[in-house]
Amino acid sequence: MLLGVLTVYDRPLEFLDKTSNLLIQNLSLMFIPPSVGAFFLSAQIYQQFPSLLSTILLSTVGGILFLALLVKLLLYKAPRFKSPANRPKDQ
Amino acid sequence: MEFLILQWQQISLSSWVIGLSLVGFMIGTWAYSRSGGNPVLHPLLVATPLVAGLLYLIDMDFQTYYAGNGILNWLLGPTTVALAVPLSKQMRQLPPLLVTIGITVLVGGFFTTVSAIAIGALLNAEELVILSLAAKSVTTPIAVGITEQIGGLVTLIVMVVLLTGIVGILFAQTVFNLVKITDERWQGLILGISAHAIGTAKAFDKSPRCGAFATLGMGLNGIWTAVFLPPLMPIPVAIFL
Repeated sequence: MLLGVLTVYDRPLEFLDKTSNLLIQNLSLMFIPPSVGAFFLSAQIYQQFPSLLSTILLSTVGGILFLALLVKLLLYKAPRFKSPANRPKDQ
Repeated sequence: MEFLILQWQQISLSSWVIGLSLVGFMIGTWAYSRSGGNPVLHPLLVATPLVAGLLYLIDMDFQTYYAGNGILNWLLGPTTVALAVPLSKQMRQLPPLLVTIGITVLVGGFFTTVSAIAIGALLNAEELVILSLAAKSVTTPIAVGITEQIGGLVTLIVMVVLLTGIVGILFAQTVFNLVKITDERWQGLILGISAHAIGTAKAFDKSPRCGAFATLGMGLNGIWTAVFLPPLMPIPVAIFL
């Protein structure tokens, strides 16, 4: 709702900027309490921890790599073939 | 009215233990800025083990500590709403980028989910663990809802989401350098899709523009995953489990 209002209103609101900046700059602080919970898990979960951590590591890094290659393909490769000016000239 | 009472109850449980989070965060922020923004020294990565160590030292259980941070937990709600402010400033840039953003979110959201299930199955993780991994790239409130629907462990998904965010901020810049993604808008979008709110916080460290695109990626991926994952979950389960 706020996004819709701000997009339509389209004027700077200083008090809103200051408050949102303050909250966003300290976003990591708000994740500390739930993150600490990772150190207090049950023994049953810890038994699965090696496979769990490996899965998270591989799939997250793989996911970022996949997304980066996809963006690269969509942004830099596709327009080249669409634009006649960028097609390689016949020898 | 009941909603307001619940909110007040959460805030009113705040106690001195908030000081532990604040001290941890201050030390983390100091270390992070001294290192010139080294992702290994991100405030969350420094503060979390520090606070956990302090809790073990003073023999305090996690529930007491978590409840005592009521106001910080409550502030996550207004902060999520506040993310709309920087995003609104980027709205004019969006129309020409919508196709790329749309394809990246749709394909990327699907890939992060299916890859987690497939890798979990390959590494012989238990079925319950795999079901709790599927929504790992989605922000916590949405991930909890999805995990309940598909039969995973809610207590586990909270930790999985956090670890995903931490892994994301640790490795994202290396991948961006490797693939040569230099535009902060796309870096932000990828961080938001793959590392949700923690990735978004990291993106705001780079610039408001990067953060705004991370907010967009996080929000769209959350909605998309909530739409496709519960009804389609039987398919990867049948293939991989």
